[in-house]
Amino acid sequence: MIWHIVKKDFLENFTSARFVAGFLICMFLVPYTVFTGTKGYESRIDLYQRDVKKSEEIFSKAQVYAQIQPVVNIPPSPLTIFCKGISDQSGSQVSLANSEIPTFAGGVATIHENQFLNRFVSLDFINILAIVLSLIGVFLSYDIFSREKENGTLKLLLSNRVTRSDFFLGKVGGILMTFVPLLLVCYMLVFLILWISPSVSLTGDDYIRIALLILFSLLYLAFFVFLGSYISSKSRTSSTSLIIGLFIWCFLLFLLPATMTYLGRNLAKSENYSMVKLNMGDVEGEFWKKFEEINKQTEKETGTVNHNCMMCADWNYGSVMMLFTPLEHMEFQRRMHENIGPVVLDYATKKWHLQEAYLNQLYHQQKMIKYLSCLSPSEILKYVAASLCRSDMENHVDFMDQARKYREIFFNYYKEHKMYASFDYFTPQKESEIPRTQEEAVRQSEDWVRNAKPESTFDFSSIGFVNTANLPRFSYKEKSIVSGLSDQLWILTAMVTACIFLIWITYRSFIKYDIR
Amino acid sequence: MLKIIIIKELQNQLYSMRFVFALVLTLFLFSISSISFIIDFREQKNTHEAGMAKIRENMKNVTDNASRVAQNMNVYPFAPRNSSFIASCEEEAMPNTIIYTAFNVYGFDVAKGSNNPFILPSKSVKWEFIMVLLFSFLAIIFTFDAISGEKEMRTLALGLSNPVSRGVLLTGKFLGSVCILCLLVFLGVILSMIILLLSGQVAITYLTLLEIGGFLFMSFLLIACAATIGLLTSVISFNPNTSLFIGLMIWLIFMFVIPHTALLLSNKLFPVESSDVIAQNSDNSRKIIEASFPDGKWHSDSGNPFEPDHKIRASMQMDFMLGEKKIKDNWYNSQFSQFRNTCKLSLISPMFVFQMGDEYILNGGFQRFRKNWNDLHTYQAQFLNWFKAFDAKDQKSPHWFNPYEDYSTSKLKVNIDEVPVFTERTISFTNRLVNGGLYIALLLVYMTIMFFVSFLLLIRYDVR
Repeated sequence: MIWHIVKKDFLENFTSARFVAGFLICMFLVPYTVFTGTKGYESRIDLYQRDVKKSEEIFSKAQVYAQIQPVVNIPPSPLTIFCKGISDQSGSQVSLANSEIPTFAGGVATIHENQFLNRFVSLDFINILAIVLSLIGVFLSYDIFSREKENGTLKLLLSNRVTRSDFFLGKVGGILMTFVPLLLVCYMLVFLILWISPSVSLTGDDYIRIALLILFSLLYLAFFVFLGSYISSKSRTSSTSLIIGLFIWCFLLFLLPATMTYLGRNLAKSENYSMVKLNMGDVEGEFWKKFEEINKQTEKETGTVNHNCMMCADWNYGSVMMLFTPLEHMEFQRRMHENIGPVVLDYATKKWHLQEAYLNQLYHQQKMIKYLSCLSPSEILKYVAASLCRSDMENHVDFMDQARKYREIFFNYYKEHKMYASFDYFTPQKESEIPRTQEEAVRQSEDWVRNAKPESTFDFSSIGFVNTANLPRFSYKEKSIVSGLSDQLWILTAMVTACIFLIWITYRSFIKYDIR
Repeated sequence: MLKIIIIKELQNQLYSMRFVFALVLTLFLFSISSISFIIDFREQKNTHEAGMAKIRENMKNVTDNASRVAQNMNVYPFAPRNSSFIASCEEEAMPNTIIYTAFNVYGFDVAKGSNNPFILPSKSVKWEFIMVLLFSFLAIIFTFDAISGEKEMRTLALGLSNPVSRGVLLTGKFLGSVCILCLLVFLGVILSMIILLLSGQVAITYLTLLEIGGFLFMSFLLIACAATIGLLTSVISFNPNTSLFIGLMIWLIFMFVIPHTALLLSNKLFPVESSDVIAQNSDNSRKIIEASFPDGKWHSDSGNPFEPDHKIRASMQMDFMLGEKKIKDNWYNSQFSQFRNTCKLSLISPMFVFQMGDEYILNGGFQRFRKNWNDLHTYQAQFLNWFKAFDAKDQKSPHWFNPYEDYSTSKLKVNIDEVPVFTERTISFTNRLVNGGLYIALLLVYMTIMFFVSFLLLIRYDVR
């Protein structure tokens, strides 16, 4: 008997004007958001490839080791077409300088570089799905019981051998069944668009993630169906039920998340980053005092007071590129790098304590907002979708942690291999080629200008590159699905519990429903 | 007769369940908005003051050398706006700091940490947010069944069998719904004001009162506009539920789809060069300038300010700065124009028109940025004049101005109190109204068109 009711309701809903209208809206909005999401992803991929090339050139075109300050790039996930999460605002590349452990990722994160455009709403597939599906869910379920009552068919039906439980399960099942083809068509449409766009290629892992996303979308939809059913079982008329349903819909989808985010931001305050930067400036002040001390000490050790160079370019706590300079000054520079290199790293760690404390405040604030705003099912959907699409905070933090770890390994390699103490660190000239006197330095410089014909004073393009084959390189290990979902375990459980609770109270309410 | 219809409509709405829901939501949101604002604003003010003090202290550290004072990269962070409890104007997401020296206004940025980058994007719950999201929604909820609902209940034919014209009926329904919604807004605003006044955080000046008045007027127009959307959907369909569905779809399109589409089209229709291209252009310009200077351009002798090569060096560095400034300023102008054009595209949505109007009335968001950006250019010229005058008095300076190095300008100690300070200018309310007049007119036009179309459709409406 349940199956009969499910079938009847399915057919009735499937051919109803509201379902057709909802279906048509999905057919318009889904391709629209996926198409625009794909374009955004293509821009990000272009940018990523450009950035990777530039980052690679840091190694391949380094003429001295001091020039190498690695930059690692965050690979855009094709799944951000479904859910952008925080990927548009969290940065696209991380600079790993010796003087500072990165707090945030930098680079151009969004598809547009014009920061004024941050003012505009940017939607993705999950946003649209959250709004439209929930609205259709409410519209299909608001009169699940009250319509039958208004038409007088409820009494008639229950006067047969149909139990209230069967009727209840049949009606709810019928609506849920109606959504299955709608969801499948939506996702098939997405696949079709992704399939025809050449820049998107999905892996097996991506397909599993999408399958989980479909399942979770269904759960999300079920929540609104159960909510609509509950309201219907408590309302005397369909119109009352619809108005209540829509108020709750608007509240859960738009008002509650914004209110909770705003409230959460103020309850779990984080320090202003400009203040953190200013405090880091104090540590830098200490560092410069230390720098002066080391400078004086090195001057004393080497007996070199005037450390001018014939040709030097760039500066990173000493000249990065030094050429045609007498050995005495080169030796001073080498000793200076040897002494200051590890100190720069130590002070970066000192600054990191401030940055870490600030980041912990941000993480705490995010957690507070997440748990407060997850009173809304649409936010739960967004968080779970962001986790599945690798665009949530946990994935980003995981990348940043790996990048920081890599920075440590990279500069430890410099320390362990005594690279700060070598001439290769700051000059492309071999020790034997370094001029012994000022006259020889001038001669070398003139010979170089004559032979290499540099286009400008600092055109060093004729100089060869250092061997970077043995330097540690960055490789990113993505978080697994299980690990990603375990971060969202609480909110996932909350969603399932809310659905079970809603269906239970709806059932209880329907059992007592006045069918007259 | 119109009066009777309005009173009847008011009574119907007042006793309806939707009014109760709307009242609860309004009071809830306005109180949350005010309480959060108080915590937020206090913190923002303290942080801003501490930040400014620290910046001033950092400047003190370079006052031993006048050239360093002039070359010091200063960051001007926008102070928290007094009227930000009304609308944030998205200032935390848009550029809110300007970087300058006495020689140049270099650029702008969104202060890092203005927003937690790990939080999913969300709007601040300010009065404007409540109006745009809740009240535009409520206006549709309150009007969607104005005609189709009466028809379903079979009271429409009955009503029209009295000496009531269709125009009067529609006007009565419209005014009744708008009045009830305005009443809700006033209740919310009064509650919010009580909380804000009790907290003592917001100084209510004459200007603040004018700003609130301007905002309420804009809100009235927005509500009226959204109510006409509801009325339109009500006369499109014979079934109130269909009207509601259509109304909500139009609402979603105006709220989300149009701004999103404008954003997407902006990159295609009004392209702006990427930062990579700009960096490349700056680099090329630098190379050309460098090549045009004779040997000795990079020579320096910190012990002798009158070293002749310093003159060449200063001149080249100045050209570098001016060359880069020209490229950057063009780029910034194209960004401004891209933003303005994107806003123009979004003006299809009355909700966006309302937000833009608010921006003018409150002098926030992009309007505030442009004002500060222009004013900082004026200030920078004054700052440079001050430095030049200071430098002219120094006999030990050769007066070869170099924007980046202090080889050839005064290194005398400066009294920090003599250094000009930038302060943000306030724009008079009349000017704001004049500038925002276009948006007020636009809302009026939207409202009139939609009301007129609703009227035309009602004329042909089958009331049986």
